[in-house]
Amino acid sequence: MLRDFLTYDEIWFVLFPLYVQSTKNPGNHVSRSILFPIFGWGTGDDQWSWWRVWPIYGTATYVGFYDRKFALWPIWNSEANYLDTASPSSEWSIWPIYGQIEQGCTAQPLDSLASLCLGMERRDLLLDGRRPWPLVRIQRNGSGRPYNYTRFIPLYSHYDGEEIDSQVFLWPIFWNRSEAVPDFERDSFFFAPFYYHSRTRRLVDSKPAREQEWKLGGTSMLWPLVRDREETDGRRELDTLWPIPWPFVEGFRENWLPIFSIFTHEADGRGAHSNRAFLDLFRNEANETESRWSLPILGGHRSLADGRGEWSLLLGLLRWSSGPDGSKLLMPAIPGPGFPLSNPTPRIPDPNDIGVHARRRSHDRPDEGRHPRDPRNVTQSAGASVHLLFETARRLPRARPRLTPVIDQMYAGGVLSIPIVVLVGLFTGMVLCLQTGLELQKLGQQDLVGRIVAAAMCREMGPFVTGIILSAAVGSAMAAEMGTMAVSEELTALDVMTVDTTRFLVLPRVIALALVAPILTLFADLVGIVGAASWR
Amino acid sequence: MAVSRLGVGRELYVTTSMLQIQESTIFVFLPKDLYVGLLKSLVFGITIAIIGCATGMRATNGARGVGEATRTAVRTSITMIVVLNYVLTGILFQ
Repeated sequence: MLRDFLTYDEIWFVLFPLYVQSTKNPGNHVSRSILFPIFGWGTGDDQWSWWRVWPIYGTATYVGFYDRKFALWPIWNSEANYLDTASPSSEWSIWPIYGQIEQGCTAQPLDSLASLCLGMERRDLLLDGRRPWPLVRIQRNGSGRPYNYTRFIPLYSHYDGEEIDSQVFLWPIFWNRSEAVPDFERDSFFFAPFYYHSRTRRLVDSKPAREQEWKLGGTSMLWPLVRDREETDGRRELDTLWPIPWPFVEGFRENWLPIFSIFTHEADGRGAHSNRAFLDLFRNEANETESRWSLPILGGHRSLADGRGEWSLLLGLLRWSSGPDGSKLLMPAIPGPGFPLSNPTPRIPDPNDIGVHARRRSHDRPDEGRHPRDPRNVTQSAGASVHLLFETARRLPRARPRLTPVIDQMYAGGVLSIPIVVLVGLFTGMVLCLQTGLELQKLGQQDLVGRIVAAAMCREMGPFVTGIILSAAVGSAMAAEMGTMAVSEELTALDVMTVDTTRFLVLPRVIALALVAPILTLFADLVGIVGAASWR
Repeated sequence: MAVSRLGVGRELYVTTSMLQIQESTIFVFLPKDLYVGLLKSLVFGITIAIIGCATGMRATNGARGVGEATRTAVRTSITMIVVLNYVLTGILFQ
């Protein structure tokens, strides 16, 4: 027996598929099946019932909601749905010859002449599985918005509506589509995956004169060689080598294209453009004030709008500028990581210090003597944490941690924290319930308080409260313990004995806390939800 | 609280809260509300342990350094929990 399985409250399996019984509580709907799915029947509150001898005949009714029948599944099928809404629908079909759907007053009564089968919605096709995929479908003369729809998958399909006229041949290989809305028109043709072509026209209000003007744009793609995209606002992108067989891919051009592109041209429609070639090695860019080009290492040229120009050769060693007032040499610009290089003096160990070898760790530390709030300390400690995380993760697959330290840590970190977690969870749930409940009471919606408290405790407050408590109680204890070991050089001693400190000290703690935290969260959730209900 | 102050029946409270937890299942057995919370707390646990150990292992300067390391550990891990909580919520509940 399973409780709360899928959407059912209770399911009994007896030698499945010999006998199955499922229960849904609102309405007390009980369904039974023998030799699932062949024989089955179900009853509920005298409005809901169904029975079937699959695939010969079956019927299901829910008074006020639906009425469905089938015979010789999937051949004959009749349904009436959405009876409780303003637009009930009724449909029937004799697969594969004829089918019909009518929906309410707003809908399109639907004549199918030679249809193999009909299906309106994905719900019918995929989830209910009452009918196979409709391969041929003809749909005409809707009474509301006129449109025609003809489909012989996969050979041909044609849709002709108010705004869209689209034809597909040999789906999904060829399609040809034209769209027109009042200020936008587009004709596009696609021969997958090699060729795409579209023309766009957009009506633009020119603000000062209030005159309307059609602007043109378009996109062409010859995969994988070229893509040319021109927007109606004048932007243009021309790429040679376009590796994806579809011209519109969000973010691809910015992030990945430089790897593939041989030549790229880009213009923003306001006078600036850039050309790049061969992995961005050659670049030529221009805007209103200057234009420049560059080759790697060899050099580049920059010319400004006022007639001056600057040359830079060999990594900037040789630079000069020219202009109306003659040319002159410029100081060489040194590339690289700054100049002069910082050259720290090496630390010389004091030979009289007998602990020099044992204190190797503290001598390696460049952070001694810094102010505690020095930002370098922050970045270094963050780096240390991330490093330790990776070290731990690296050891995890081959970890055979001894059980005793893990259990010790789980006891110290988990069991001893149960009282405080329970207490804090209880009061969190209570205060959450009180605050939301009082607010909801003003709106007369206090019945929702259970849902809100449950969702908020499970999603947010439980994990959050547990995390804060664990970090204050257990994380600080861990830090103090490890800190004492580090200060009294026990860690160094372990290092000297070639004991892997990450594996023997860090790993059990991480595993223990990772196991214990969800359990404590469960405690907090449970106590919070229950406590919110019952305590005063 | 719900029963005594707000006048919501106990039956109703239990039914609605259980309903909320059972809703929106992605995995078959664990309701989404619950497993997202558990996933969060798993991440928090790992974060706390790692930060505690890492700051502890870097402690210097005797007892004073240990105190400083403890303080840093708690401060950093609480900050990380708050930030990660937001990030995880953003990712998991879209």
